[in-house]
Amino acid sequence: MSKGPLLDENVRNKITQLEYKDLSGKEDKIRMIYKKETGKELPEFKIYSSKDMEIGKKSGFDGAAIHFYDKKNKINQIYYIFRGTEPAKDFGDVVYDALGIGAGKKNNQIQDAKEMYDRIEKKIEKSDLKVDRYGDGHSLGGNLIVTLGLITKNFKDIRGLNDAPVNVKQLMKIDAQFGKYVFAKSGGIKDIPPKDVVNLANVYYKKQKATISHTWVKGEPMHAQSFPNSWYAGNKVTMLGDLDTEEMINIGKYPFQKEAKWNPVYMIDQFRYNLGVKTILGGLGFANDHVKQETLLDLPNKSEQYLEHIKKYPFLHLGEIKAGVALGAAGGVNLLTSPGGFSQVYKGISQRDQAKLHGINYVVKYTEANAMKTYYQVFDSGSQEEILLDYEQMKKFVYYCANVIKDKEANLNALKQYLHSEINEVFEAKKKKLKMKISREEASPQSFMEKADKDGATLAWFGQKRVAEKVTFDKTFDPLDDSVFTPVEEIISSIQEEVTYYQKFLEAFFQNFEKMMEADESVASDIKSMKEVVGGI
Amino acid sequence: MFDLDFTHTGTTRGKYTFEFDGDDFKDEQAKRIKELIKKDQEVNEKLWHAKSYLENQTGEFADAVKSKLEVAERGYTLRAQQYDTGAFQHIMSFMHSVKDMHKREYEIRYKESMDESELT
Repeated sequence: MSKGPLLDENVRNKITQLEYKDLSGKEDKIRMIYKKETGKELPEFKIYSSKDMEIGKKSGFDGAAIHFYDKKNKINQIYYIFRGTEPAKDFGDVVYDALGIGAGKKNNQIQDAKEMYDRIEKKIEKSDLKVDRYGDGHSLGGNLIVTLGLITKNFKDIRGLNDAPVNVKQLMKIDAQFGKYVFAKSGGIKDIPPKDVVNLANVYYKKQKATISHTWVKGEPMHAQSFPNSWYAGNKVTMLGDLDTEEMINIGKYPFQKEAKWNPVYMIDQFRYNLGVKTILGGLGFANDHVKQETLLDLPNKSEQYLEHIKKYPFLHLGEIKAGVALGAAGGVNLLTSPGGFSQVYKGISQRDQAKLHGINYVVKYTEANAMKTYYQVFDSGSQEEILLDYEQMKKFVYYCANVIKDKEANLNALKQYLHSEINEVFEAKKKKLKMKISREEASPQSFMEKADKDGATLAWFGQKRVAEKVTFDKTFDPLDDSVFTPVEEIISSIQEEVTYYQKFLEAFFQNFEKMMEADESVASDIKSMKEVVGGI
Repeated sequence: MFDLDFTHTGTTRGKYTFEFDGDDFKDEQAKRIKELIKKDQEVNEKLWHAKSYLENQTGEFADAVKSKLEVAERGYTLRAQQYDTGAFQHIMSFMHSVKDMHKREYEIRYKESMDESELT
């Protein structure tokens, strides 16, 4: 039986940080990190680095792997660690990287990552112990490790740290089986809408998704970017740092989407904005096709002047993105006339300091400080988009609603009790009280006569004197009139409808919630037991 | 109205009606039914408060859940008036029934005399 992972998140983060100085020959440093974190000694291990293996010289790919093998203790674990492009980035670099992913035409880094993986796997396959594979990658390295995990389908756990998303169109090219699957499912259409490809990827890579998580520093720019075909495959996101930090602007998303649904000014502005983004992405793809030997995403010196300019002055280019003048597709629109473009630039400038949060150092720092909150990454049935769900909050919501619905049912029962018992009890009590009064009067007929007959009509009749001997009251009682019950019955029936509405509401919520969380076995079983506790819903 | 038998000792043939005093029944009962209705409203308000758990959730799923609760809230606001009216009708009918119940018919048997000494 294989053991649990040797390296915890803190150690893995620190090793990913160390990978920026190249892991080759860093055995002692790794032992030291582990010892400091756990107080224990590491078993024997071997480091493989892309540099030593002479992989990635052209593409700029940098990665390493650490293989732990201890037959006696049945340990056979390998950790693949891929670095990003630069340890410290500014907003422009990050957006530029995200744009590159959005363009999705360059495969050479993932090809190198796969080559490294294949060569290492050949070396470690001799062991009779089953190997457990783990993966970590920061920034673009995150994109690579996640892509590798999806195509090899044999990782136990993958973590993307402030990672760039996967590009599903690129994935279709790299993973031929997935490409065929998409083609078959879409009925052979050539230009399948990106959203549909992402949906199909969610189904096709369902198992692999469950092994992938993302760790993002709140407010860092990379994860806020979304572009057609970009996909954060995974099932959990851990947010680090100050959770009140506002998310960075998303260049790929028009900022006034809600308004654009009904306001024609925003509608047109959104169209131009999206066209601009599409043009930029198309431009990067175009440039990539023509700049063969240069790494589009990584090298600082681009032969294409405009790409260099985007990298250095991203805010200047936001206007161009909007207007689509980067490649001359749709020019002539002033940034100041565009509410969407202006808003992005204005907000982006105020958030400029947040760019530093993208660095691996912040991931290490905040994980160590345990400043984190984990969200589940699920498919939202409403928007048909991936969303982050705070499971604990949702759980509280379910219990809270279930309890309130139970309170409502209890109150409804109190009303029913009132209708079926209390009204009659009150009526009977009144009857009883009245009967007692009657008995008292019947016991003293003469005094009753005096009380009842104030004008002396029955006591004196044409001068005659009368003495009461016996008074007999009618002791039959009619039942209460229907008009006493009907209004309460109507109230009850209406509240009963409300209870049914809320029960159905919670039932529907549960169905969606279960569907959304089905990828995670432990959560699925948690929901099952939650249903049992809630009961009757 | 009266149909009396003028025998020396006799029983009234007619029936008289005497109204017994009621009590503060109306207020007591109104308090009770209103309390039940108010409790229901408090429960609903509590349920709508559940939205606060979804405040920081993204996506249309959470929005749809929030909007379902908002629809329920709007519907209840309209129904609340009907509940008040219903409670009032119930109380008035109940009060009248009880009041009517206190109007009791009775018969009386008496002795009568022309001479005062006969009575003592």
